[in-house]
Order: sequence, then C-alpha cells, then structure tokens
Amino acid sequence: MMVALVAPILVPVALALAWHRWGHNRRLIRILWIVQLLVAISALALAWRATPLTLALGTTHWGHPAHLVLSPTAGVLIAAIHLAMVIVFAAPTWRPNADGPPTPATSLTFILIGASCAALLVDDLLLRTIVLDLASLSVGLILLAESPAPTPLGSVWPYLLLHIGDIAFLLLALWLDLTTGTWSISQAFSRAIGLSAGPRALAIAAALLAAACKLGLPPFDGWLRRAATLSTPHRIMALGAGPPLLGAYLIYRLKDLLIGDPVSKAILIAIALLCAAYAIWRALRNSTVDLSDVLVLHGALGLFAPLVGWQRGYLLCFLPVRLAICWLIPQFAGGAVETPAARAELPNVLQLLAAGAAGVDAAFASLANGLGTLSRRLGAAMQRVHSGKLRRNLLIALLALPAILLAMLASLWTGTP
Amino acid sequence: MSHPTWASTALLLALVAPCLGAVFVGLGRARSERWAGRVALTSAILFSLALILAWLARDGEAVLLGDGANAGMLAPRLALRLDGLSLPFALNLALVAILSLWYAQDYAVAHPRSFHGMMLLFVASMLGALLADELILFALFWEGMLLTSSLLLLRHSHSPNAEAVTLRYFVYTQAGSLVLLGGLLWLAVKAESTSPQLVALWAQQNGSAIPWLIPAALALGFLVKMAIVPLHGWLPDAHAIAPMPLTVLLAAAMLAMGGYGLARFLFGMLGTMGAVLQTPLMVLAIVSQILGALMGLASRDIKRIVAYSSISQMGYALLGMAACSSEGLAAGLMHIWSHGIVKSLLFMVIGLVIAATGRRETSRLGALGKRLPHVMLALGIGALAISGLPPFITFASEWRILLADLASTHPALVVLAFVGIVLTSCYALALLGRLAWGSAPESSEPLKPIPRSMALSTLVAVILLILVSLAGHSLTVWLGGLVASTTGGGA
Repeated sequence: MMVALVAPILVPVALALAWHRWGHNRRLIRILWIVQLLVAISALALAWRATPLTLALGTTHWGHPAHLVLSPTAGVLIAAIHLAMVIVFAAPTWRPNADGPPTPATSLTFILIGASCAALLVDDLLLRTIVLDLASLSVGLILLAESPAPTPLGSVWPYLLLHIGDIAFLLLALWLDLTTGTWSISQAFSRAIGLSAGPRALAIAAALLAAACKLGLPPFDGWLRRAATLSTPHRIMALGAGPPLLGAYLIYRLKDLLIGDPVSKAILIAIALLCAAYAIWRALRNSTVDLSDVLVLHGALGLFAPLVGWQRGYLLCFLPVRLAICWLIPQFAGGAVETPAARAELPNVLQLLAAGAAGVDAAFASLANGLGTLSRRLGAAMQRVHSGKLRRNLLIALLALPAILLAMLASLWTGTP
Repeated sequence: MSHPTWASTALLLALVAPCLGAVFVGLGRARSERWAGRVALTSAILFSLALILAWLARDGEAVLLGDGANAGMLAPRLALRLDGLSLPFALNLALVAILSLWYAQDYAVAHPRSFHGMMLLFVASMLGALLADELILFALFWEGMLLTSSLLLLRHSHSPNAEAVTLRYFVYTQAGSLVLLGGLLWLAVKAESTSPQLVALWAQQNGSAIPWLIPAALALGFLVKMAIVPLHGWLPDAHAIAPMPLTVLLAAAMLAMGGYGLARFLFGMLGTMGAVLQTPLMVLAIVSQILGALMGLASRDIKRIVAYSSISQMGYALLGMAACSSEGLAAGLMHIWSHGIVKSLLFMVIGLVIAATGRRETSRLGALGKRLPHVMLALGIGALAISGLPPFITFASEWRILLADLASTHPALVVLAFVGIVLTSCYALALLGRLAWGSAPESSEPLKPIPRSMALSTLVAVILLILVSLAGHSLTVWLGGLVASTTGGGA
C-alpha cells in the first residue's frame, strides 16, 4: 500500500533518469512503461478506499509531522496523469519506426510529473511550496531545452511568472501557519474558513494570486503562451498535468473559503469574467484562434466552477479536456486553431521598473557626492587635502592602531591598566 | 589578571596569526611573489584552526581572554570573547578569508606582497571586532577594518577613479563609524563602564533612562556598514573597482559585520530599547530589498549586478532582525551567514567570467553556456541560491524571516517583502539568462584559460554551498541555539 503511495512520485523520476541514460534501450523503457501503467491502475484502485491512505514522512525541519495523503480526488488525478503519460509517450515507442534519440525536455517532463504528483499528495504547506517551485522550475527548464526565447530575459521569464505564484503560495502557507497554528494543509484550509475578515482577505488574495499564476490567467499568461509552443507531448503534460492542474486543485481545496462570503465571491466572479472576456476578445480579433487563448478560457472557467458547484467535475475532467485542447483540436480544427509561434515575451513592466530604479540610483550617486552645496564643497576640500596623499594619510592612521593594541596586550600580561 | 587557558591562548593565537602572517609577507622581500600568497593562505587556515580549537577547548558558554569589566573609560584593556553570537560570524569570516585568499593565489594584482599583507590585516581587524569584549577595543578594530580596506581599494584597484571612489567609501563609512563611536561612548558614560556585559546589565535596569538617540546612533553606524538604503552609496563603486578577492571579503564578510553589530549591541546589549526602532528599520529593510533588486536588474555590469544584490540581501537580514524576536534575530543572522557563502560563490564565478572573457558588460557577453559550461553551472547554482529557491539554505532563512515578520506588529508591511523575493529571482535569473543563453557578442575573442586556484576555490565554494544546504536543518538548530544562549532567548 505504502509503495503505491510513493510510486507516483518516484517512478516518473526513475523514468526520467532511465530515459536520459538508456533512452535507446527500448526493452528497458517498455518495462518502465508497464510499471507506469501499474502505478496508474493502483492509484485509481486506492482512490476508491473509504478512508484516505496516509504515509508518515517524519518530522520536517519546521517541526511538523508531514504526511503523504491520497484523497479520492488526488487519486483519480494521479491515475489520469500517469495514464496520459502512457498514452502520450509510451504508445509511440511500440511503433516500428518510433522516435529518435531521447531529448532532455522529455526527461524534464517526467520530473515535472513527479513534482506534480508530490504536490497533489503532500499534506504540509511548506513542503507543498517546495514541490510547487520544483514543478515551476521543471517547466522553465523544459521551455529552455526545447523552445528557447530569442532574448535571454525571455528565457527565464516563464519561470519567473510561475515563481510569482510560488511566492504567493509561500505567503499563504506562512500566513495560514500563523493564523491557524498548523502546517497541515487539510487542517489549515478547514480552519481558515473561521478566520476573521482581515486575515481571511490576505489568505484569499494570496490563494487567488497563486492560482492565477499557475492557471496562466492574464496578466500571468506569458508562461502559458510560451508553453503552448512546445511539441505536442510536452505541451500536453506541461499544460495538462503541470502547474495549471495544481492551480485548479488549489481552487478546489479552497472553494469553501473562496465562496464563503459575498465579497470574495464577487471578486472571484469579476476575475473569472475579465479573464474569459480577454480570451474571447483575443480569439475573435483574428481569423484563426490561438491555442493559448483556448487554454486561458478553460482556466477562467475553473474560477466559475466553484460558484456553480461543479468544481470536482471540472477538476476531474481537467486533464482529458487539456489533452483534447492541446492534441485533438489542432489536429481536427483544419487550421482554424493554431499553436502560437515562439516569440519573445518582453517583460515591459520589469524594464520600466528597472529604468526607474536606475534613475533612483543616479540620484543616490549624486547624493553620495555631497548633500547640497555645503557637502559638495566639503567633499572638494577633502579631495584637495588628500589629493595624491590619501594613501599616506591612511597609512599614518593605520599605524596608530597597532601601537594602541600592543599597549593593551602588554597591560593584559602585566596586569596593570 | 585572569589565568590564560588553552582556549583563551588559542583565541589570542587566532587573532595574532593573520597579523604575524602580514608581517612575514611584508618581510619576505627576497622570496617570490607566489610565496606571499601562500603565507597569507596558511595564516588564514591557521587562524581558522585556532578559532575552532578555542571553541572546542572552552570551559563554559564562552571563551574569554582578559577582563573587560575592569577597564576604565580612558584605559581600555584587551578583552576578547568568543561566544554563541560571535562564533558563527567568526566561522563565516574564516571560511570567506580562506576562499578569497585561495582565489587570490593566481589572481593578477600589481603588488602581491602588499595586497596579501593588507588582506590579512583586514581579516585580523574584522576578527578583532568580532571578538572584542570592550567597547573602545571594538571601535579600534572597527576603525582598523575601515583603514585597511580603504588602503586595499586605493592601492590595488586598476580603476582610474580609485582615489575618488576610495574617498567616498572612506567618508561614508568613517561618518558611520564616528556616529557609532559617539553612541558607544555616550552609553559607556551613562553606564560608567565599557564592558558590553555591564552595559547590558545597566540597560536592563535603567531602560527608560536611555535616550532614543543612543540606539539610533548605533543603528545608523551599523546600517552604513550593511549598506542599507539610503546609506548604501559607498557600496556599488567600491565593489566594482576592488580586485575580486577583496570584493569577496567586502561583500561576504564585511557587510556581515554590520549585522553582527546590530545583533550584539542594538538588540543584544540594549534589548528592548532596540525595539523602539522597529518600524523605521522594517521600512528601510523593505526599501533596500526592493530597490537593491531593481538596481541589480537595471545594471549592465555583471559585477555591479552582484554588488547591488548585496544591498537587497542585507535588506532581508535586517527585516529578520527588525522583527525584534529571538526567531527573527536567529533567522536574520542565519541569512547573513548563508549570504556569505552564496555571495562568495557568485563573485568568484563573476571573476572567472571576467578572467576568461576580459569583459564585464552584459551587452558584450553571451552564449557562455556552451563555451564555459562548468562556470555557467556554478553561476546557475549561485543564482538559484540567491533567489532563495529550495533546497538551498537561503530558502530556509528567508521563510523563517518572513514568518517572524508576519508574526510581528506590522504583517501588512511584510507583504511587500514578497515583491522583493520575486524581484530577486528576476535579476539573478536574468543575469544567468544573459550570460548563459544570451546571443553571442559580434566580436567574440577566444577565451583565456582560467587560473587553477581560481577555478578550484570556486568549485570548493559550490561544494560548500551544497553541503551547507543539505545540512540546513542541523545548522538552523545549531545557530538558533547559539543565538538563544547568548541573547537569553529574547532579542
């Protein structure tokens, strides 16, 4: 039982290493795919247990007993992820004229799957933050390996956008620990419902920001648009089983908190409407539909789902729908839906901020030369006094110190002050 | 007079070793210039060993040499103390000194004997300030630190602006030192003692009699050393023109001295009096954190980018300390400690890039991922670590800082610090992106070979960072215990 709980995390990682090292050994890879299929079936079987399966991981550095918990929903999602992996990657290896050499992006995709499964299983706020960040980093590296951006900043920009979500989740984790007194996700999320308005607002804001970044909702959709340019198998896994699924899962876990009061419900509706309207407006603007706009629209629907009580259904259908969007629609839409071309995502906001900071820096530099006329004159006078003699003057000052220290040392041994 | 013990003798040896090393380097006129570097490195290793020996051989919670309690106002005495607060900083200094002096073995400087000798005196001054158990003695070593670093900057920089930059550095830090000295003397006069222990006792009993100007003066003096905005004007230029081994010492060890001063004298000695400055300190910390990161993002010189990141990182550390709780203080100190290793690594890697390409402008560097893969891997590790990503030790220190601050009286203010974390990742990963994957410059010259000692010492820094990160939990517990034993469990 316990092996079945750890296997969804470890098998993809082992597969990543094997793929990287022995990718040409078809027999070994096929055996690993069969193991992968067994993992999917066992996860599905365990999801039907009456009580969630739990595995103690020991006490964390921050003094909390961490667990892996397989809830029914997480079990179905994990089974779906592993089945999708088998369909997308394993099936083609049985073709007679199958694939070329293994690529780093594929190994990284398997690591992403391991991180996603860990995020679905782990019941500790800080551990969840760590695996979320690992998943973000994997997506950043997959993009770097397969679809590098024309600009260097563009290469790291997708990861940075996802990282904003990780930081927001870190804020949520720390805040929930402080206000609810536990690092356990299940306990913290259920206790958060009883928080007063102020602490509750901060928790909701952090959760929404984290979910928006992971789902790739505007204005954090830059990473999603880049990921949509990946090759089909990597695109499906990055956008179906990666951060967006984790964002949808966060919304699902926090649904009671998010729709608990009229204000947060109104905010949720407003964000969902704006994101959906933005995606539809972009889609209608051109003669063909950009695939990433379809994905944004699907993400926005995730915010609507808890409002109408469809959250669980939305989540359980998440991966099949994404599989259809990323794989089937471009195949059968006859060119009406296009995958976007790779382009530089220039972080204009950052450049603007950096330019402002450069101005502030210049102001500080002039301030450093003297505060006002008086200081400038004083500085100039000092420069004149020391001109060409600064080293000598510093040396003279330095020589005074050993004399004092030697006198003090002598007094220590003689005992006289 | 207290009787010397093995531990106190080792402590004195730790302080004397770099001074003697400097003398040997100075006298070694007939020997080769390489000999100067080896003597300097040996001295640093010896002082580190003596320090560890002193701590292991201690009898009690601290190693003491001399009796600072009997010192008169005008007759300061040599009194040294190695306790739970000074030990982590002293070990950090030892580590950084060994790394930088090893790195300097093959580093091209114009006058190697003078350079290595002065580096040792600089290290000795910092160690003296960490160990001083008497206020005047502390001020003397503090002054020595300033003078030796100024001389190093002036004599060993290749920049035509060396004199102007050194003068600016000197004026800034000397002004800070004078304010600090004024605060310490005022306190000593009121408490009628120059012993930090006696002053702390007096402050506990007469907290209300301490004018707020005293903690303000102490804070100002130490904040200049930490290069907290708006007192950071000396740092970017000084770091940019300094030879790389000196830059490593300045960034990884000297900035930490400001943090030590705050922890020892403001929060340790004055206790709750330090808390009167909580709000301004938190504001300054967040401004430094964000502005330092933005300036790093705006900079086009790879050395300055890392220099600006020091301002931002010291903002993190100050944020932890400003929480005014034992958890915040321990987290802030842990961040300073981890910053020392990460920043050493980053500057050493930048030094390798400059040595191999002869360039430091981002516009003239790029596509090094294929040409210098190992160097870029080290840069990647350093960039991820400075971004505070798990599993690096900086992640552990950062979330502890944020947790301590969220529990303070200004949680809303701390939410801004999360913006700083994102910006930190921006400049660190943008630097990595530009250097590793940016387009290759039009006039690409063949790479020069990287000197062996520079490459090896950088490799050791990478290994150290990984080891320290793996042992993050044990280190956190150890540092927290040391700090709690020294500050009595409360900041």
